[in-house]
Amino acid sequence: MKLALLGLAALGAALGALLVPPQARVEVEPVAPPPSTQRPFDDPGLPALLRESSPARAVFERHCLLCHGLPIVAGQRLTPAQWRAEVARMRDKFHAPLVAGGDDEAVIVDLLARAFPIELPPAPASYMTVPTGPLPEPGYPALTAAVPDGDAERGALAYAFGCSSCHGKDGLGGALGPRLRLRPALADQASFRRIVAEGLRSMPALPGVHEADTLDILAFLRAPG
Amino acid sequence: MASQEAPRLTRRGALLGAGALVFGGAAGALGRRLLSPEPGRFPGLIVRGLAPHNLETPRAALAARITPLELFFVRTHGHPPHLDPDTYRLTIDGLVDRPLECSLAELRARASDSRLAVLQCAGNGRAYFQPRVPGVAWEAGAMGQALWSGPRLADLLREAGVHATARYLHLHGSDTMALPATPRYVRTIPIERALADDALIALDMNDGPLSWLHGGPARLVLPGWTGHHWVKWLARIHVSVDEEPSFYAKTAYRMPAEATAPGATPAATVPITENGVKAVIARPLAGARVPVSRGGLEVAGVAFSGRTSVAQVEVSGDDGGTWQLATLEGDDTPGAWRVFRATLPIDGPGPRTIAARATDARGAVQPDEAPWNPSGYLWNAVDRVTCEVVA
Repeated sequence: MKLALLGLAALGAALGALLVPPQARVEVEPVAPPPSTQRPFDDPGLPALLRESSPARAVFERHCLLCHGLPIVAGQRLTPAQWRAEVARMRDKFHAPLVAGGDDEAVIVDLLARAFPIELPPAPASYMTVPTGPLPEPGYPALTAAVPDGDAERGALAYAFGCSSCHGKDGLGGALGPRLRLRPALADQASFRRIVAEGLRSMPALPGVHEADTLDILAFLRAPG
Repeated sequence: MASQEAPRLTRRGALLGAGALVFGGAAGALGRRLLSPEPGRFPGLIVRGLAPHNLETPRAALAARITPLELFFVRTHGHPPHLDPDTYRLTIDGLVDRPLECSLAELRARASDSRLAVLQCAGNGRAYFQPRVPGVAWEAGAMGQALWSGPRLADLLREAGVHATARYLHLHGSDTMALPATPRYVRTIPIERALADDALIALDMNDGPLSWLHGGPARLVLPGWTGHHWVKWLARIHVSVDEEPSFYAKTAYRMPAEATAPGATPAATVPITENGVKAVIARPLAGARVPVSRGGLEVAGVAFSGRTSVAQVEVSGDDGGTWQLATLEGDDTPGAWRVFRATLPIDGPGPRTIAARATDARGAVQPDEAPWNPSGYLWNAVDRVTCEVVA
């Protein structure tokens, strides 16, 4: 059963909803997703190569940004040889799941060497700050079917440090992770915990996350925005 | 939902047993000391990375004896572990007669010392190296000063009964790596350094508990030595005759053994230990416009050098053509920085390149150029800032 679930999980986020037992589903009125306030790829200081979605950027996101986030990468100015050496170092020393000499590695090196070449002026100190713009107006209905036994206030703190770098402030979506508010997986503790513990698509498994924290985060994400 | 209770409890028990707490116990979540009222936001810091957190102190904050907590830089290798102060334990094992497992309360009962000391990342100033090198592109502010308090490491080691054959300590942090295969954060220090009086397990930072992103509830403090030794979220100290062989302990944080031509690969490397002699200018800031009517140009910053103290700081208003002595404020404490101030004469409008260089009590002088190295460590060239005197 567990293997079957794992297999399904790997098929993609859309299939996540299928894992939720029918009786646990919650009817939610569709709400248009709010504009995210935390989309670093939209930063006008970034090279166009990265601002525009592309297959190469997708490879870069999948392999590099899970551990690094964008600012540290965008702060580099390196020669193609240095980029090649850095990517190889991530593979050999930090065990990034890359195949030596494989296509993904070549795509990443090519993209980064073009986006952040040695000639590019250094990034200004204010280049990558955490966005502080206004948040969208509140408008997220609470899911009411089953109240998780976590604490939303504690969950806000755990979320801010553990999840927001990918999923954006308050679960509204970020550069790497999708919006989490109103996702079907929030309706069911088991599927939410499974995604956290086992990962889903490009999200890494986080098996060390404390159970109580998982429930707190879930309570936070289900609370009215 | 009742059917989920059994697996939930089982799983929680397994996680507790493994000590694999990432987001920590609920009790600790709200009791942690944070850097800003809004968790996850750092309005005063320069963001060099967010996953994990690498946050830089702005230059303007570097003219104070104590760096404010909310402006104190953060260097992190993995994600911050959510350690619960109630269940946190520091283990000391290996070549000891009596292995220790201390709770936070037991560590607090042994707190005996406070040290004013500079914490500086070995890579501070990396962005200034030419040719450029990979790594977090720190400019001047991967450093800060605080009053660190807690038990002396030497006292704990004596309590545990360290064997005469012991040569190294392996310091295990609790950072959580995004990928299971990524090396954990472990550092090795020689036993002689650990037994010195100034080595502390810091539980407090200035006037309160050590903040979470700065390693709370407990981190190592080694005044004068570079930040990567100051292991955060310290969980285990293993006493051994050997160096720990993993990546962060043995491969990372090394410098060329001999001068290396820019861009070249060094033939041999040695571990980094002490901070170099260094003065950093906090005022004026680059690009500042100073009215000539002010009559003088006020320069301020901080200076420090490894485990010794600063003997003098010289300041120049003409990019090193002529120098004048700055005044030094504060106590002459080895391993701590002192604020320096000087007023330079200004005789008319135009650009001015201000320079500052420190000399330490051993006679070492801040060099005009920092030795290039492939990872961009220990930048300590004479600090320069260009501003504009305006009519």
